[in-house]
Amino acid sequence: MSPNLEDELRATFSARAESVPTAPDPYPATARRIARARRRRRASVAGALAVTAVLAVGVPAGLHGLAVRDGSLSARHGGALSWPLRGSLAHDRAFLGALREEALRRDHSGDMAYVLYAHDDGRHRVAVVVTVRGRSARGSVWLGASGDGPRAMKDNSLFGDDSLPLDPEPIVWFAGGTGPLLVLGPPTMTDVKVSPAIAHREDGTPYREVRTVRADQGAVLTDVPGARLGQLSVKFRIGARYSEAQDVPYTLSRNNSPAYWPAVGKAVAQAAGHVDAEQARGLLDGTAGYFGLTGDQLTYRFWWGDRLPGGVDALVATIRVPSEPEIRVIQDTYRFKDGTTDQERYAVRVRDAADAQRPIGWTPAVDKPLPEDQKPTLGAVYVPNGAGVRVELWNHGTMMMAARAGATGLATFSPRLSTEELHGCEYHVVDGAGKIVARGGFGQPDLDFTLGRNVPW
Amino acid sequence: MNAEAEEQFREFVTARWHALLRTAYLLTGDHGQAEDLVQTALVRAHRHWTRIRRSDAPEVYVRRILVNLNNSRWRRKRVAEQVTDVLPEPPSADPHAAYDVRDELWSAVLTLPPRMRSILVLRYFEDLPEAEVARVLDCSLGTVKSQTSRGLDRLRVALKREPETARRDR
Repeated sequence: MSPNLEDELRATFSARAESVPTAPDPYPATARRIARARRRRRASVAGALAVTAVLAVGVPAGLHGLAVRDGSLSARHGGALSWPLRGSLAHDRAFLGALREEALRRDHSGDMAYVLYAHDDGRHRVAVVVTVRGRSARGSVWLGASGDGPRAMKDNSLFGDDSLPLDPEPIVWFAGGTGPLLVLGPPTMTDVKVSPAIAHREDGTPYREVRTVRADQGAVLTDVPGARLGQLSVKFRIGARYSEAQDVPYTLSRNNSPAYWPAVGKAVAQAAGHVDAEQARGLLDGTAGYFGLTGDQLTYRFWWGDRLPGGVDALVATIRVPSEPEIRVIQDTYRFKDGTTDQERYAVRVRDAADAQRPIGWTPAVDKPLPEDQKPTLGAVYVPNGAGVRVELWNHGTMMMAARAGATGLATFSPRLSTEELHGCEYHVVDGAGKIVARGGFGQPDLDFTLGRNVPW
Repeated sequence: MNAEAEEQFREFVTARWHALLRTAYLLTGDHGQAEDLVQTALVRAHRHWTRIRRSDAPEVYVRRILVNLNNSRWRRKRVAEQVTDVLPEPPSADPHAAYDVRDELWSAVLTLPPRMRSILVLRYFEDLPEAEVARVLDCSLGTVKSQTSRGLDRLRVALKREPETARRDR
């Protein structure tokens, strides 16, 4: 072996690693990512009481949670309000004056109106307006047809009167349908990568098509053919680097059909064991939300439900979203003392009809609702029609323990292994003659992952 | 997670971010993907932090998550960006870098399968002993040895140098 190559490799790695820039404080971005992941997992079962499925609100990325702090408005002008006015109408004094006037007419609580963007691309007329009173501000995107005056334009709320873009990320707004996408950032934003939707290859592997759009002085207004609500995502480049992917917020208000709830109730009644109807609806609505759909637009079947040790409710379902591969989903629901719930969802693609009848193993994170000193790692195996069947836990060729599946076909193990270690184990389902009739692992991909939500791009 | 654990996690992120990002960049070859990979790994680590923080070396766990996440992304063929209109990368700070043999070697490294590349990164950048690499990747020591050897051979071929196996076979 040539030692030279190894030395060169060390030097190459070292030199390449030097190109990695330092981040002043990486924690805030990480915390935001954690919060986002948590929000996605946390499904409000209580929310299912509403007939209307409002899947997201039109608050732009970067403007969430920015409570107005003490200080005069002028002290906050370092934020979005300090951005220069941009767009093809930036010098159209008549339009801008009329726009400010109309903005204050519509927002009675505003004292001043700032126009951040005003543009007419020959088909659409778009403006971004912030009305301010004291320490509160309201932001809105105005949309009309080319040539429209402010009175003819429709305003869409960006953020409410209790928040202000103090240190804003770019404003991202999508009109929906065939409407345009607006990304308004600081003038240093040079371009925006736009991914309209998740696509699938022939073998079902999800991927994202990405288009790069140059910003004009930090502003992008573009059509997004094929955009799919819930999947449209952007990255913006400010300086040398792109941001992480930002899902584009949207508002969707569609009614499930009156038959939806009874249909779900009927479906859960047909499942083995017990499936909680609200948890089932939460799964359907959450999955549908990824695709800008409502639960009644899905094809689904609930196969099984049971309560795991630690009080976690688990269910197994198969779901088909129109034009998407069918998936088999495991949902674990944790109930906290305050009544809120938290869900873990795992999913695999269904390859054939028999898949739904095959055993499946996973590792419910039963530590969530338990005190610090009671955090076992659990391995769970659901064996369809497997009441009383023997299930063995094998670790690298050694059988660690065995269990009998309960009345609903659920077998659980608490082998005092870490989750990672348990993911390296295998379960064997053994028949009365001692023959292995099924085997598998415990590591299952997240639902997001299987749906392609986490396709890196 | 309690406040103390959260604070400890914050300290960990602040202290180890750059080191993890460097490793992630060598694994992915892309700054954006590297940052995404580190954040994804940290999100995973955060969910199990109360358990991870009790270990002697949380970084080992996080690094393991990082490497395995990267490998599994590729294994599941989910790294699938199709760029239809890409801006050129910003020019290198070093105008002579393009002529450096390291660029050639780096390009060759990027052609290696992710698991093989992971092993080389852990061996020759992290300077981990082979046994530790095996632990991180949850594979046998023999696999680490053979993958290292094959990886170096593939690099030699890419650099048009004689592979070690060819010399041995002679």
